[in-house]
Amino acid sequence: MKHILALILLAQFGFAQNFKSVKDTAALRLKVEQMSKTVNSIESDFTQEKNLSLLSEKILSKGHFVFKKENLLRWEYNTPYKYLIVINKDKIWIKDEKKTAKYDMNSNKVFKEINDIMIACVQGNIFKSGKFKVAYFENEKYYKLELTPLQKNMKESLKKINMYFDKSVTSVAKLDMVEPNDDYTTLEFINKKLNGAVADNIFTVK
Amino acid sequence: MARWQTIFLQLSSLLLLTSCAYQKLNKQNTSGKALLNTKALQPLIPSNNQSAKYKAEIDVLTKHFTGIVVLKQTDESTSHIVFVTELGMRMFDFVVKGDSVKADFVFDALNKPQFVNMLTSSFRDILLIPVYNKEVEEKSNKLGTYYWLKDRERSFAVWKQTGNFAKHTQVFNGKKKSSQAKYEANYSLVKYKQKGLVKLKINLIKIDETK
Repeated sequence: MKHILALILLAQFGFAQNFKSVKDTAALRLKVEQMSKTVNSIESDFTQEKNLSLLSEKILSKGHFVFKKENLLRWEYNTPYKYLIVINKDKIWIKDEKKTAKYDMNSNKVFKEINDIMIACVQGNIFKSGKFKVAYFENEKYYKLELTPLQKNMKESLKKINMYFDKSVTSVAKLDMVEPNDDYTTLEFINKKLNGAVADNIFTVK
Repeated sequence: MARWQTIFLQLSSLLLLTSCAYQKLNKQNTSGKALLNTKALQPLIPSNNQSAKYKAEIDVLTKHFTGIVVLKQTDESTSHIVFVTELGMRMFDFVVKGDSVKADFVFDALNKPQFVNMLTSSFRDILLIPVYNKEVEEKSNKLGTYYWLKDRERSFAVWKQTGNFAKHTQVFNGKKKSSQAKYEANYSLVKYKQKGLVKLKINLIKIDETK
């Protein structure tokens, strides 16, 4: 009996994970674009799980983020320790427990790339950047956009990004960033608040 | 002219002082010799499929890197030192095999041979790899008993805290002190400093995963 129950549970899990191709990709693109247009601010908790495949190790982090159009992002880790990234248009602040550093995005290519990916991932419109080949999938719970980098330098550090939307396409629910060696980072967004009032002064660090 | 004399004097006294540190440690009487193994001196990389995770701060020249360092043994003779940024980007993966530390992966922007060599060599010293399975002399000074090893042109002095954890190490290149590391609370905190033209600081603060 136990074995049968386990098989049923496994079958259900397999079904839940089983993604098939989306037939009407144009309609899904439109929904995502519509979502990006109507969402002006997002506030959410997140959990981040880094999986190091070779070591069979996970690094768990938790935090909170606030996004506001255009190009304002506060990304804050609370565990395992405090760490803050603030993006305000072309400025980026990184604050750890000891130091605060401010960078100009235009003078630093790496930060510009990080900014573009973070903002586009949070907004869900990363597929519009033209830097990825996009494949569309769905299961009962999610739409999944599988983004494969087209640029050589990005391919060296990123194999693909899986972006999950809930079926009503109101916001990004989950992200997987897969590296060439199959290490991956999963970001899951919980306690989301869309289009709430957000003060501008949280997007600066003194 | 007087300015140059002052600089020369200061440099000479500095050299004299660093040589003094070496002479004092080298000249102490040896109370015994021992083959240093992981029972006598606990390793930083845990065995039994466990890992150690540290919040890491690496300062080199004007650059300041932070992230998480994972130390893990993957088989009997292999361990890994993996540095991941807070955002989850893997910056480097060093493989420890026997007494060598080699880079298996380094993020493109950091992949400069001098920088990588400096880091692998520093982690080799932090993990006390050069002293394991070597015959060392036991000596004492006012800081306590220390293991003394002369290995080709380099010399190592390792003091212990209770429970066979390392407490303090000094590494000499010739007679000049090249680096030192301080270990606190059973390896919960490691502070490493490399001297010389390119200064390097590595601080490792253990992450308590039970919280």
